[in-house]
Amino acid sequence: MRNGSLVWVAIATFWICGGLNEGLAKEIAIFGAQPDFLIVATVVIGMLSDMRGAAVAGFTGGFFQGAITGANMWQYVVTRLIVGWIGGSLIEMRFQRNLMIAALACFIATIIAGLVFLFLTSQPNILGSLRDTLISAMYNAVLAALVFAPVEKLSGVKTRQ
Amino acid sequence: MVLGFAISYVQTSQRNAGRTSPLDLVVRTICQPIALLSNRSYLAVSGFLSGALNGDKYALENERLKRQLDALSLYEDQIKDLEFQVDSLRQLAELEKTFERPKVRADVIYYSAIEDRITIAAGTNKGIEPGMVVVCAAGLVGRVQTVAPRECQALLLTAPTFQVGATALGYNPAPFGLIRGDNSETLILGFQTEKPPVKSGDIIITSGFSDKLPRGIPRNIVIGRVLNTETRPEIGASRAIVLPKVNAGNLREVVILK
Repeated sequence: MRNGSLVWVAIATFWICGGLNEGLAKEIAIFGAQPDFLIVATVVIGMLSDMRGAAVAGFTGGFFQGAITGANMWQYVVTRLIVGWIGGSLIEMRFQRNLMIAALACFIATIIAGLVFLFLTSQPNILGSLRDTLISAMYNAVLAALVFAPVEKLSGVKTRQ
Repeated sequence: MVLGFAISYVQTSQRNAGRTSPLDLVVRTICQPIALLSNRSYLAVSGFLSGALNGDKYALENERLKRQLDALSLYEDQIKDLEFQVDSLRQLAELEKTFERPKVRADVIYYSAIEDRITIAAGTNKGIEPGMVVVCAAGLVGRVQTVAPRECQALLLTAPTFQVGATALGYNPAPFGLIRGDNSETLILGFQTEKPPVKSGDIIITSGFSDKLPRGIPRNIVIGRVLNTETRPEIGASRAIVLPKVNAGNLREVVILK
């Protein structure tokens, strides 16, 4: 993450998404499944930076989520590192940075992170958790498309490619 | 990854001591302005839209409630007299005046369905301590687990580590069991009898005999309703599946009993 403006944009994005996760996510839940603004932030920042930056974004996303929830810190860090890695890998694989890819990456990342989290925390209600993960993934995909455009514009990453 | 494990260790050890980890507190404090702003904005917008769309319905409802209030005020003296009699009888029986405990009313500012936890906007500044009971108008919510200066986190009834003594309403003698969460939408009420002493539709309340909480949960707080019962002859026990009355996802305000 050598781009200076991207660092500031990333800090602001995590701050805003952390606040939205804490204050807004439960209000806008659909069928009990909440959107995860921090996964959205992690994927978007991961896509706009290099692999090292994506790992830092993943750690930050996991740390914020674990701190807000007050439990399961390492499980969140591990799953969000995977999320950041997915975001960074797509760009390494020469996928273009655009809204569709951001939405798709966020959908896949949420499902993989959800499945790994289920495994790490040994959730007993697997079917219910899978249903929530799937709804959250769709929700996050839509949010990723909305978040990607302003973050990309503010960080100026696209113009430096 | 190693850093993640280290932070996790600090978080767990602080939680076990009934405190909020300093790192958690820093993150929550940083995020709080956005959280409050987004929450208040959402409530304002949804309230405005709801009012604009259902104005006539609310006006009628308001009129109906006013009439009900007038009718209820006629019984106020009678209720006071009965409350006095109940209190006198409880004193005679040397029972605690359960609902005369000091209460703290506070907003719910965060809910995590996966972790079965809520964050409440009241902390040591309002005299909150770990182990205190959290209730709402519908019934039992959970108990306070960690406390920070301006907020606390409560473990919900649906968490697997939450256990409380429970009984069913309308039985004599009352069947007593231990109710616990199982990380799903339902609770499990276990009995030490092969035949379940309750049936579908029974209302489950707290028995007041739990020793799992430092201050104890008062008797007669509604927990939920029995969905079905299961017999487990292999271990000579039975259990009832209970649907909690409180939907934590819809909670906006709770009361903490001191």
